[in-house]
This record gives sequence, C-alpha cells and structure tokens, in this order.
Amino acid sequence: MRISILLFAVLTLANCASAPSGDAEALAEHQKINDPGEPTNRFIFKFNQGLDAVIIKPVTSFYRIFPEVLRTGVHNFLNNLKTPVVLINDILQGEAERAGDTVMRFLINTTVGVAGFRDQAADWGFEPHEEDFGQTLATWGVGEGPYIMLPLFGPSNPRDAIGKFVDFFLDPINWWAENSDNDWVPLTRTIIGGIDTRDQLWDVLDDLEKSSIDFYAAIRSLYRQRRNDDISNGTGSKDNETPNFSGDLELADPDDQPSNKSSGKDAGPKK
Amino acid sequence: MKNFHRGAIAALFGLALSIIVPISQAKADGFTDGAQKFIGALAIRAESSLLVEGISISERQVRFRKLMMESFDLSGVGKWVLGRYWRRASGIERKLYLKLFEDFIIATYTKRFKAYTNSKLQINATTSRRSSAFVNTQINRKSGKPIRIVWRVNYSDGRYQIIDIVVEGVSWIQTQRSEFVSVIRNRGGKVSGLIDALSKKIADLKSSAS
Repeated sequence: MRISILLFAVLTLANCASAPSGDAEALAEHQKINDPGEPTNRFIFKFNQGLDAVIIKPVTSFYRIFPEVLRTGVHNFLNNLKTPVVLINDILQGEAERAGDTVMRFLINTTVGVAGFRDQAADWGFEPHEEDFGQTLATWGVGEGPYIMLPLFGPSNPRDAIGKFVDFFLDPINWWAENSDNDWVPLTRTIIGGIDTRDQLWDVLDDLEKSSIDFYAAIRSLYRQRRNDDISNGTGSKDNETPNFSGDLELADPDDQPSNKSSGKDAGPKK
Repeated sequence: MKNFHRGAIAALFGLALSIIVPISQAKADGFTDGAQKFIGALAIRAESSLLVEGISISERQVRFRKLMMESFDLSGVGKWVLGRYWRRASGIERKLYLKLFEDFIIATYTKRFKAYTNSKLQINATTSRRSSAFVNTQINRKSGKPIRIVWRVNYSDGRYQIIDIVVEGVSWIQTQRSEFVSVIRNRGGKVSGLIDALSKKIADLKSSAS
C-alpha cells in the first residue's frame, strides 16, 4: 500500500510535464483523456500483462477446471463476505433501501444460502449490488483525479485507490484477523478473490484484447465508464450519459453530425 | 441539494415544454414508440437470422453485415468516433477509414453476437433526449444477473438508425472513440496511423477466423 501512495506522488508530479500548450482542442483532448502519467501507466500495464500471462492466467485456467456451479459458489461466498463493507458504504451514501437489501441478502444467504455459497436472496428479489468507499467518495463530490494503473491491482485513480485502502480498514473481518493473529485470512481471501475476479472476466478480457487496436486505451475507457455506472447505481448519471454528438471533441462540419440530421422538423415519423 | 437542483431544473423544463405547442409532444411520443418498435422488430430479425446455431462464420458475417448496414448509422458513427481528426483527414483517408471502420465493426462484433445465441431481448421502456430515443432493454440469461442494454436511436433520412449501444453503462461509440483517438495520438496525430492499425487488425481477425 505504501508503494501505491508513493506511486500517486510520482504520477502526480509527472502531471505537469506533458500538457500541450497553444492548441485549445489538443488541450481539451488532453484533459478529457486525463492520463498524465500515460507512459508510466503503459509500462505498468505491460508489467501487469506479463504477470497475468506468467502467473494469474495459468492459475485461473487451472481453477477453471472446476465446474461452473462450484466457481459460482465461491464467487457468492466471497460476495457474502463483502457484506459489512457494502453495508457501511450503503449507509455512508444514505441509501436506506439498498442498505436494507444488503442486510436481507446477508440474512438469507448466510442461512438458506448455506454460508453464502448460494445466492438465494437474488431469486427472492434482493439483487446483489456493489458499493465501495471510492463510490462513496464520488457521491460526496470527490472527483476521480487522473487515471492510474496500479501494479497487480490494475486500472484505478486516486479516489478509487484511496477507497480500496479505506475499505480494507472498514472491514471487521480484517480487524478480527489482526486481533487474533489470523493474518492468513485476509491474504487467502485476496488471492482467491483475485482468481475469482480473473475467472469472471475471462471471456470479456479475451474478447476485448482480440478486438481492440489499443488494449490499454480500451481498458481505460471501460474502467471509467463502468465506475461511473456503478457510482450512479446504473441509473446513468450526468457523467455517464451517452455522449452528446455535439460534445467536446466536436466534428468540424456540423452537417456531418448524426444528431443534427435528425433534429428539428425531422424529429420523428409523422403520423 | 443535488436532488433539489434536479427537481427545480426538471420543473422549469416541464414548464417550458408545456408552453411549447402540444404537437411536438405527440410527435415525440410517435418517435419513442417508433424507435421502440424498430428495436423490437430488429430483435426478432436478429433472433431468426443471426442468433441461430449451425451457420458458418462467413454466413454469419454476411447476415450480420446486412443487418448492420440496414439498422446502424455506421458512417455517422465512424465520423463521430474520429472526432477532431476527421477534419484533418484527407478525402482519400476519409473514404478508406469509413470502409475500414465498417469492416472492423463487422469483424469484431460477429463473434460477440454469437455469445447471445438463444437468448431473448426484453424491451423495458424508451425515453428520449434531444434528437435521440433511448430504448432500454435487457438480455435474460439462465444464470446471473440480466445484462442491461440501451439502444440509442436517431431518426434521419426517413428511417430509424442505431447510433450507440450501451451495455451495462459502457457506451460502444465512447469506447471506440477513446481507443481510436489514442491510436492516432500515439502515431504522431496522423489518421494514416489509425488506418494502418485498422487494416492490420482486420487482417489478423480474418486469419484467426479462418
């Protein structure tokens, strides 16, 4: 963790270096991409890809020998363990209904769902949802800051990285482990959690890598859009609106814009 | 506070809208209804022609291309994705790029659609904003949460055209734009760099498919 903080410092310093001057459009683009440490980030991304190829992917492919039912069980179990952190963040965001869902899910899945291996609650209408302190900070109005690629942990930004750090300390399971000298618990959980995440993303990442011409940029865009979707709880916040066609990186010729063609008198079929 | 603002703004807009002639409201309803029906019809067509098992990859590509050309504003999207670099591109580059963009989309998405074989699209609700209708749908799977998909539809040249697909909050054109702009930036701001990368990718995809 100390290393990641150091990394922020380095990347934030690198911030000032590469902003283009003079061209207003180039500057707007630079700000929109908001990845001042891109060369460093790309280097770390390459490192992560290497790590994935050498360790994470082989281990996960071994894990994938197990039937899907079992892997889903593990996934559900890990999700159930996240309950305290999700609940705390539900409350910090003032989401009473979602907090209620989280409690109900825990009660149902821990008992009927056999210690969390079965997501019975979802079948009964209590759908799972994610919350973390990064999202809480976002709802409190904290901006994401520049994009950063963390070694091993992957895409992030200062807000979400701090969020991860805080979530670790919010988690009563970690307090318990600390106080009872069971340090292996958080460690094991992190490792299995990592394998589970890689398993869940197996097809998505494979597909994306094959179909992208700049995998790094595709991941960067996906990460931001997914986070915005999570923050708005899937309702589509202002940041997450599908882009307006006359937005930032505007086309030179307005007649070329699809939205303009259909505006005004053509706004719908006449009945 | 945020909610208060939203409420106030919504009220203002509501007031403004009620003053504008009611005809535009009727028109807007016709537009959203039409867009929703358009997506519904497209889903049925896709189910019967595309999302079936036992057809070859090349046949799937042919059918997919036909469906794409008829339902998507591919050239509009292609231009938008290029952003400010569209202006910098020469006439030949523009032509070449738009053709490659089409091939690229067909090549990458044919495989993706195969994953949805035998799944049903459920249409939920349609909203409109500016000149676009947003058709909210979901794909229900055997296990796991349903996948949320929003289709952004415009009406132009006398027909409905899809200009974006937003899957679980991830916009297709947004992602494509970030990627393409990144490629251009890393190749000295030249559109020709993107054209090279695209043709190479399409060749790779073709050789791995056959």
